[in-house]
Amino acid sequence: MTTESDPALMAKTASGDLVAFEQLVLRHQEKAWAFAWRFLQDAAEAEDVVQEAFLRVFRAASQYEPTATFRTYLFTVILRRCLDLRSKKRPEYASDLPPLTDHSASPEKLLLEQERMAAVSRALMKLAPSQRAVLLLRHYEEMSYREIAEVLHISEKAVDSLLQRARQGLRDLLTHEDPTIGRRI
Amino acid sequence: MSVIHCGKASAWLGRYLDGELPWGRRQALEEHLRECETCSRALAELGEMNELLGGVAVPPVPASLSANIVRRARTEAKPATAWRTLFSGWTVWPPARRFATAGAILAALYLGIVVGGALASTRTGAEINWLQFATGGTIVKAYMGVSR
Repeated sequence: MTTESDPALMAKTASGDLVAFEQLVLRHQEKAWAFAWRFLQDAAEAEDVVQEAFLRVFRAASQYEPTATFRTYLFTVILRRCLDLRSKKRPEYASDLPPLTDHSASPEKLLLEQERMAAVSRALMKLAPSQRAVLLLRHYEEMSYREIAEVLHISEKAVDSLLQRARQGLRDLLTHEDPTIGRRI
Repeated sequence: MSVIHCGKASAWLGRYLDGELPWGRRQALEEHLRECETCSRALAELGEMNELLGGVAVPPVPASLSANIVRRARTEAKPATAWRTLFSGWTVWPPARRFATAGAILAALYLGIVVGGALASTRTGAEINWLQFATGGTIVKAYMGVSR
């Protein structure tokens, strides 16, 4: 894979270089997919969102200004599409969670972990979309408060309070849904 | 004696865990945590919740995802090439060039409307004449008459 920077690849994309665009897609698709899947918990919708987001980036390549990192820019586009989709539809909960791959664990432990994971996923989906987004960006994308603020178009202070509410909300939901998890945290 | 109280400390725990708390506040919080069992427990719980979140796995990226994106981009890029080449870099054109282009487009539109309007007015008379060819008075018959 190329070592060219994201802004350099975007500049080439703007001039119609599809190879450069493909490099961008290959570089960021995994993170983009993981975020969309965790937010929507629906493989078909997540795939659609990621495709549309990258195409939007492609169409707007000539207007791209590298004031923020490409990752922040991409996640802003993805999140907007996720929120658009969710605003049109009632939330659904994942029924096809990927299996755990810890082969050393006993079947009982695996089952328990699977149930716990499903409970966390359900709880995430019950959070308000902005709270879910802030948790995903912080915990999985490991974005700084500043980066999250850029993606969500809010202040860093607002990110802080949103994260606090999201964590409290998640904790309450987990305690309510599954007392064993509630006891654990 | 700690310089901050539990209310402030609990509000800072998330930032502390995320490595986002400024140095001065970090020192104050760590001092508070050494003395306060409640806040220390809250910090541990927060850490455990982070671990729980870490357990949520994601299915692998669909094998055809990148290929589909690039295929669609290629399809979109083809018809737009000529147009894009003509107006590429509109946003970075010098103002004089932008005004000249916009003026030319407006002039062309104006001419189109004026000339088109003039032609339409002359054609109206002709159309009335065409209708006279019609026997029976329907539009279809008029058309048939003109066609003949």
